[in-house]
Amino acid sequence: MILADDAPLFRGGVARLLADRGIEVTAEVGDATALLAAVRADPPDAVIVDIRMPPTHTTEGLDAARTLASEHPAIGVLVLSAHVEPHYALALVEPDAGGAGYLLKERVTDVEELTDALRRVAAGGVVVDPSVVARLVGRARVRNPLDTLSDRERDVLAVMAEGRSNAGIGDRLHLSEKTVEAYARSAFTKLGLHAAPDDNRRVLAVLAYLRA
Amino acid sequence: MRRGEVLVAVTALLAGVGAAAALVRGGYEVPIDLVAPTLVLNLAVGWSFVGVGLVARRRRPASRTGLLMVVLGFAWLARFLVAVDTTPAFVVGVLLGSVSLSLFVHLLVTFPTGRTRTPGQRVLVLVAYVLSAPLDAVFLAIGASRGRGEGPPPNGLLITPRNGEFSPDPVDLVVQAVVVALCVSVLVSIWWRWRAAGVAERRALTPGLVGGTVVLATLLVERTAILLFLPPSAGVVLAWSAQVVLVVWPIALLLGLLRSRLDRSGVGRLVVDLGEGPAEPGRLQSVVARALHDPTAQVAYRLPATDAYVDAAGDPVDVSPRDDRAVAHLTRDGRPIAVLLHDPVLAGEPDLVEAVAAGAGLAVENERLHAEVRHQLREVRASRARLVEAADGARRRVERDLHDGAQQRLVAVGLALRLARTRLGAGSRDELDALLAEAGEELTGALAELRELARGIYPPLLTDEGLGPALISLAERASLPVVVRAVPAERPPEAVEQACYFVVSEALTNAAKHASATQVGVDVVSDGDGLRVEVLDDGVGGADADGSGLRGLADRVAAVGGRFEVSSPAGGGTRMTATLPCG
Repeated sequence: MILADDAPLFRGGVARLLADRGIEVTAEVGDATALLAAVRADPPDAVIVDIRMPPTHTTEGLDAARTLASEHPAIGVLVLSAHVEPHYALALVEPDAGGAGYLLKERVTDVEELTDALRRVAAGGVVVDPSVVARLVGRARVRNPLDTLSDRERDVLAVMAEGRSNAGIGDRLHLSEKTVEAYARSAFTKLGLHAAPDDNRRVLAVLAYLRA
Repeated sequence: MRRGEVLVAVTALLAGVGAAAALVRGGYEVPIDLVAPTLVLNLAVGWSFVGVGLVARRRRPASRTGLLMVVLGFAWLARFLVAVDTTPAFVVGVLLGSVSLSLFVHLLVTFPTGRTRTPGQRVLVLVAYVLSAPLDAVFLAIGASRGRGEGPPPNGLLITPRNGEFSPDPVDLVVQAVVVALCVSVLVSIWWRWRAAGVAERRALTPGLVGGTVVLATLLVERTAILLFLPPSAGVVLAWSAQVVLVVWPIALLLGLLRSRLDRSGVGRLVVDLGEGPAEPGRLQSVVARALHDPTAQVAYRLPATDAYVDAAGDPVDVSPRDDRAVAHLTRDGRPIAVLLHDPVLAGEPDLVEAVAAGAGLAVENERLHAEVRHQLREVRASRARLVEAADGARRRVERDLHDGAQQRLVAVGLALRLARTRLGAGSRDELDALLAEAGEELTGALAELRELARGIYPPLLTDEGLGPALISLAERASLPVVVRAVPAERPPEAVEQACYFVVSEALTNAAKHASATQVGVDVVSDGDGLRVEVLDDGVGGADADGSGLRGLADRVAAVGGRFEVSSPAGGGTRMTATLPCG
């Protein structure tokens, strides 16, 4: 994989953590241009990119992720961000694009979570940071349809919005896959959502629903 | 002249002729050398009151003074009925004999309005009327037939001093004492009024009151003379001189009523005064005050687009009418541009106020522009000071948040790591594990706090993605339901975008903190070449537009040349509207 961040110390730390877990970092770069060049030179399975990079330190990482999604849909892109902003997360994950993820930068300290997210985007999945989902789920609403859900159904929906499959949700909530399926179905019915043909579309549908 | 006025004038002429006939041919025996002066003086007094009264009534229809003068004139002439040698005429003549003096007291006490305003005035007027016809009727009933056929016609309040021997009885003395008391009370009453009057009112009062005082003082001396058993000849002289003054007194009253006519000539002077001399703030006001002879007169200028008024220096002025002050609106091309606050007595002279307003014309518009600039400058200074203060406050808060939040946590991390290191040799694995886990949690907390702090200082989403996403993000993190209804897609200039964002942000904070609202709506719409931001909650209302938060918002909006309004009726929710020009 390739790691793009303008702080060499950070790159070094993350690279070492990942190497410990058996993930090979093939290139470390400091900005978006270098990242795109490195990807073209030696396409990796996945890319970790910081949202803020030179020259403007705003959303270069996000723009690079979009470019990669259209040029190299097979490569999973994990964007690390300092902002809990659903807007950025949703701008990243698009239907029919390759694997994409939006994680808060501080998640790198939890190497389990980081490698899990990396593997999921590399496999074409979607990853949305739990803080972002929590913001959407916890948002104040006049008539809150989420109130009709049971606690379990809401938990399942939230973890689903993070981009996990039924099996993943089950692992996380210590439930069997079948139970997860049942909760998911009843939650969808209560909210009037339609079952999506694949996991990514399902995530997008849930996120769109929460955002509305 | 109107028909009614012609009728009154003709009647007065006829009444005068009748009075003359009664005097010359009637049952009175007037010494032959006194006939001519008596006739001339009495006709002059009667006609003077009727004629001048008619003029006063036409010029000042709102005042009763004119009417009272006309009635007084007729009452004066009617006294001569006593000289007609028939009993009914004699009776009527006696009864009307001193009504004119009651009317005189009424006029003097109530000038210039002709209406009693205090209980004291009412008592004086009532006593004056009781002393005339009713008391005369009593005397008539108990058979007093004096006065008939002797000397000049009665001209005192009650009793005519007879020529020759004079021996007043106790009843006469009591009545005279009451008359004297009345005269003294009237003098005191008008003195009080004159003292309490403002400069403008004094100018209206003075001629009438001075003339009336002379008449009354003469009367007083005359009556006191009777009380003091002075020879009646002295009283006759005084009575005659009182009549001389009474001839010109109506003119004095009219002058007081129509002061503005005379002051109109001063308006020309006003225009000249305005033309020369240095143009300094408040000059117009002092010139106008001089022209109106009202030193309390004040000119307040309207700020465009608001209903607020400021003085020449730009200070806000309350222009609501009060008891001690009347308000005249000055307009230009139909638009209100200023108000003239003046002594209410001038309200009786609208033509003077209008003339002064017209004379001031261009100068008012000119000074209004100056006042507006001064007011803006004042606002700008105040808002600059508040912005500096707000910035300092914000820096202090950031410093405190860093100190109390993130920094504390990082210290805790350092401590935990240090402890872990010392335990490396001695401690158990579990202990190390717990310490490191604690350090990790503290770090996570510190990071979250830093993230929120940074976002609070400046929202990156706003610059990156514009108003729409930034406002939606605000709505998502608000503690109460917020609906962002509309946001224009095209991005306004950065300063406007930021002002708009902070208006919504502060309004939401306000709604969450103070309004007890259950829902907030946010609308941003293109408004001509600008943006209009509206935040409406369904809370308790009563927001204080001068509170520090909203004041800061108003400053923020004013800084980009916008306008900020808060409408927050108690119980009716709060609506904040900012209009931000994009040009």
